[in-house]
Amino acid sequence: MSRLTVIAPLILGWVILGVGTFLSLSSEPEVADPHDYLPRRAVHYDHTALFDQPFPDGPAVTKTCLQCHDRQAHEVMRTSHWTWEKEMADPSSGGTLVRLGKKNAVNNFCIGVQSNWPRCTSCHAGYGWADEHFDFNDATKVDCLVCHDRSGVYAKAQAGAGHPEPGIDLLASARSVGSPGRANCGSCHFSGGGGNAVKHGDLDSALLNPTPELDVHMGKHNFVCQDCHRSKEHRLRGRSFAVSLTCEDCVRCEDCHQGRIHDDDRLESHRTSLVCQTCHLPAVARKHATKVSWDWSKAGDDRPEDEHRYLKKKGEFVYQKELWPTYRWFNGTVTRYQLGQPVRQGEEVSINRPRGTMTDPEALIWPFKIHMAKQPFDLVHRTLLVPKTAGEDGYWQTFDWDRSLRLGAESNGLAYSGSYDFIETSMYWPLSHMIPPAEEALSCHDCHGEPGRMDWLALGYPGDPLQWGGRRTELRMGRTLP
Amino acid sequence: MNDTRQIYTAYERFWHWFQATIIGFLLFTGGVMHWPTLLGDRAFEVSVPLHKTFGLILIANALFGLLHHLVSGAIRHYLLGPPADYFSQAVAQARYYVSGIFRGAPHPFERNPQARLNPLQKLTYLIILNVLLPLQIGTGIAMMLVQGRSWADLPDWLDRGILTGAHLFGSWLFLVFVLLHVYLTTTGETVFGHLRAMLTGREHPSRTGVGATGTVSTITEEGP
Amino acid sequence: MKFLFLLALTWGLEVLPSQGLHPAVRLLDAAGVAVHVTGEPLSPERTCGTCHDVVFIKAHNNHKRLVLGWADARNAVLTRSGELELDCLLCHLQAPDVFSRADTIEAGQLGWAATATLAHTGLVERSLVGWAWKGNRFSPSGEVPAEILGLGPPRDGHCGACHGRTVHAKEEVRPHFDRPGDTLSAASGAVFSGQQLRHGGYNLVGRETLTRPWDVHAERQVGCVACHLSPNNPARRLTKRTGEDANHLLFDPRGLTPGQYLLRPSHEFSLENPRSLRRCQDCHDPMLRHSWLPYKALHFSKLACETCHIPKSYHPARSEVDRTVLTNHFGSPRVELRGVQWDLRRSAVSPVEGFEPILIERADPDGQHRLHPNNLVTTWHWEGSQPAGEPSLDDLRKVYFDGQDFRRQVLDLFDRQGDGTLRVEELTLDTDQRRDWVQGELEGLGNRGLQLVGTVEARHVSHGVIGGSWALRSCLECHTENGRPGRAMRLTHVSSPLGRLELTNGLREKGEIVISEGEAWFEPRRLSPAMLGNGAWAWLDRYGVGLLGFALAAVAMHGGLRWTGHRRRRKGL
Repeated sequence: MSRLTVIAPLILGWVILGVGTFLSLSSEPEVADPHDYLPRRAVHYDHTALFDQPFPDGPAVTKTCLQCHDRQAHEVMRTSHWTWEKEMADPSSGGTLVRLGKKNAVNNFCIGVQSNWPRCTSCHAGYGWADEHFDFNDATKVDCLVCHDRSGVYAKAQAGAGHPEPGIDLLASARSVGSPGRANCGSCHFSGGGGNAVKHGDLDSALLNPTPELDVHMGKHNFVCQDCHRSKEHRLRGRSFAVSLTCEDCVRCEDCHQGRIHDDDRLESHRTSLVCQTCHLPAVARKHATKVSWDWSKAGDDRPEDEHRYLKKKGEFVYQKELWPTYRWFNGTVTRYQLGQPVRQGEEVSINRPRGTMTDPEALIWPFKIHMAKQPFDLVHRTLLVPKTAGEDGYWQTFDWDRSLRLGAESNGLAYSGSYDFIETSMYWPLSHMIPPAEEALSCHDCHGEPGRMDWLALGYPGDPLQWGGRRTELRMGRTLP
Repeated sequence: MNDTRQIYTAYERFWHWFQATIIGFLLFTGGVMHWPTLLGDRAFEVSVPLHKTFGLILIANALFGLLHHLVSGAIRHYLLGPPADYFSQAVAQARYYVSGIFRGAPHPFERNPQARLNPLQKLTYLIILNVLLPLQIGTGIAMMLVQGRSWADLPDWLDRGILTGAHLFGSWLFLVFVLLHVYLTTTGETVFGHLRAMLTGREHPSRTGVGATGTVSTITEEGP
Repeated sequence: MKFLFLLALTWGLEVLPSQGLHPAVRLLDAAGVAVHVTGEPLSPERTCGTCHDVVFIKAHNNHKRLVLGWADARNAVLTRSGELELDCLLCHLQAPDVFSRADTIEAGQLGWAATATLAHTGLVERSLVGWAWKGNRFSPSGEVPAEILGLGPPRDGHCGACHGRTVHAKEEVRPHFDRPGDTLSAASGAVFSGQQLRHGGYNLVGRETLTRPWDVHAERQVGCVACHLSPNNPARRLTKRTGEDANHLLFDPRGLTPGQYLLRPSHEFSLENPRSLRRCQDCHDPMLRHSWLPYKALHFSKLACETCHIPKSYHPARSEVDRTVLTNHFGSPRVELRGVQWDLRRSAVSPVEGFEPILIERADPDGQHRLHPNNLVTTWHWEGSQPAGEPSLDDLRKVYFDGQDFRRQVLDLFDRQGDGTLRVEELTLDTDQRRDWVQGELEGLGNRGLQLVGTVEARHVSHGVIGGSWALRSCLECHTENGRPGRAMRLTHVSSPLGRLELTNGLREKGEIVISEGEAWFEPRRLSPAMLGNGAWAWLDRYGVGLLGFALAAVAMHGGLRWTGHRRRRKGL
């Protein structure tokens, strides 16, 4: 036996022992750095030198864009920013396919787009959708600037069917194009429902330049929307449950925050029942109040007006600042009211009730802003009605409910009996933005103390799960999840 | 190269250098634990389990070494021999170190593959390997073993102060040994001769000194 | 009376829906007749005693005298007329009126004390003789519905009314700095609240960074009664068997039924009773965690959990109680607090820095001696040779006060600032002149053999527990030369009276008093020389360095001589 064959394995053995010991010393599990999962941002290409002639209107700009970016226009045209609808499987009817979107859905804010196009479509990512005959195949009608303008001068006219405000320097706007910032998305998404901060609760102009305390992602880390709502071929990830029915392609915290999050076992164990935002979003509308109720039935009165209380055109509202969410089980699907569906006597009409229960393994407790409204419905057919509010003959000019409802019904393909009343509806807005830094998260007593934020009985618990056991441990009483 | 002879086997060399490295690591991690502020918190926290691990590796190495010495017969190098002979040889060696060496006198002890260690070396290594090393290992293992028990279970006399104190004292002695050992390797025929021998395993035969029998002679055996 | 007011303030009136099972109650007087008929004071013992065995409760009760004893207990209102009954309502009423009760006792109307506790229920109102019952609130048979009383188990606020600050997480923790009888906050610097430190009203130094709760158990909804339990309460039974005969059993299910317990509930919450206190290991197993800690079992056999999990107390705590002076005619002593940098006016916005408890060895129930965190309180008092020993509060009052005002001589002697009023800081026997004058006055009243003594005692810090990254984790907190285990704690202040300091029994073997730069410190006994890095082996290191140095010198000299010899031979020969 040569010396080498004796020595070599001996030495190798020691080396392995040594290295192995050293490696085994580190006992801390590596927590993945969320920054590792951020998408790479596009490199800016300066378009200043490319344009020298002023543009007469929006489509003119688009035509120029198309000279190089023809493919991109067609990408946009395949997305819901353009079509304002999507075909989806309706989970509450066993997966029947429906075409649903802003185009044809009803909500409990301004109620419906059809018959009100020039006003509502001022937020369309296109030019000229003034009536039901808009050509969705015309690429020159795509509005590139609303998302890509980086000068800040670009703005859409309030009732211009998507056209820009007259007098805007479109040349300057075109020259400035780049990757979208928060102001681009926010130009529409912050003022849904007819004004800043009205609709979402967690999206308003405060996010243009938020402090780190207001939003840790956008304030402290200067995230732009597409850092989370990642885009591929202009198709953005994310679902709005104002119109969507399911959660395919939803944005999730776990896209970046992977693996185990909390050092503390007790906190980590809450993830079996709560979505991140439930603890990490104690309140929304922290800078600007958001609308929490809208009573259309009071509209038409000549009393003094106040943007946050009463407008003749719209009715009575209640705004709330520092709004605490309402907590409900949510499995990523909603039961959505669709136009033409009858509402039953005495039943709460929920435009988009979140589905999910304690025993549904896909469901977690989410924070919601609930918006209550009293909106018109047909007493005979018992369907919600969409009034024509904007434009000539609209309610906002005539203050004639019957007329507006008739015109609106025609446009929406609804039967109108002539006899209407107002019914209370609710709409659920899941909240995910305005996340403050981690030390502001809810603490134990916020839910488990008295009084706590959670309505245990409404959530299906016999009482506080701290004492009764949670959904997976309702087993202090011997029951288990299926 | 032709006139060199094999004096250390490959395993002996490996064992020696490995032992030296481990002792170096142990001294270093021990130092970190003894003076925690020198390198900071993380160094201290890491040194505690590392020192334990290296200590265990040292024990394994020492045991393998002992096994090898017994099986191969190399143990004979360390045996002191008849006391009368030994005593006079040791004195002669000592005289060389404190005066002869300055005058360029020949080594009183002729080194050859059958008798590698001079009398003083034999004694030193005997003490190091059979007293000091077991002391360190013993106190180290004792300190390690008691970590799982409460002090209420152990007898009073075995206060950890004694264990720690002995372990610390032994560490200082080892440090001093390392210094003296490295220096004394330069007292060969040439300054780096012994070092080269421990690395390559080969050395030039000595030109002066005694043969295997152990008698002193000043006659050179080889010609110029 | 301001401390009483503050006391009442801390009682957060939680108006919560009463969810108890308690039936309607007939309120009875001492003769057993309904109070709304006789108009007599309420007797809790007769009333509650209708269903609950009051004799048993009184025999198993260490809250015997629920007197608000900020004054010297021996001179308290016991000498006045009437008898103070055990007041069940103080702990079991949903919203007891602690303020009115204290007021009533102070006025000498001891019999009405229990009745006064009901002030918030609307069943009584003040009258000339004491209190008057509002008959319209009672049913014809004299019963009061349970919802009005809200009877139930004590909540944190009940305990906090006397024992220290327990703040409901949603209230703001408003500062007040001392309250007599407080065994929690003023004694150990803890506040039992789940609120974050930075959200409270204390002007904490570095406030914005203190994103931790005062106490993690309070945060997690573990209330006082979860750990301080009635020894025979079947609902909160300690699962560990203590001293039972049947060794083959882990657990004996044959216990009291709830009904049996409610008849005879033990009220012995003494810390010495092992069945009335849950300890850390009753719920937590430290070996399941702490994987980052080398030599876990050894650490846990040497350190109490609190040592690392209560690294700092953020509420100012007493460092000295000076009973040799009276700050008001009620008899309040002068109190110095640790952990607060008083501004000139000793105001509520003084910066609070908190303090690190001192680590002192203590024998635990399992026989191990472990380091525990403590606060040290020095109580200055006169020791006398009379049978009574310490001079009475009345005597002290006579020395300092003339009615409700300070005596002329006291003002002259103590008013350093010369503004005609005496502030707390000025009242201290810190010069021979002041001390001798007071001693002379006391001797004039018949006290003999007086000596001014400061007794140092340790108060254990058990609350203010924190975990996660806030607990101690750095090895160097302890394993350095001036690590926490050997660190001294300051005992006295520059303005402390001139007296002799002595350690109480518990501290005598644990360390010694060291005077440094005019201040007295308590230095704990030097720790085991076996602890890594604590510098106990510096003496041996000196020998080691000496040996190494000697060896280095020898090597240098030997090598040098060889080298010069070699050079000489090469040149010369």
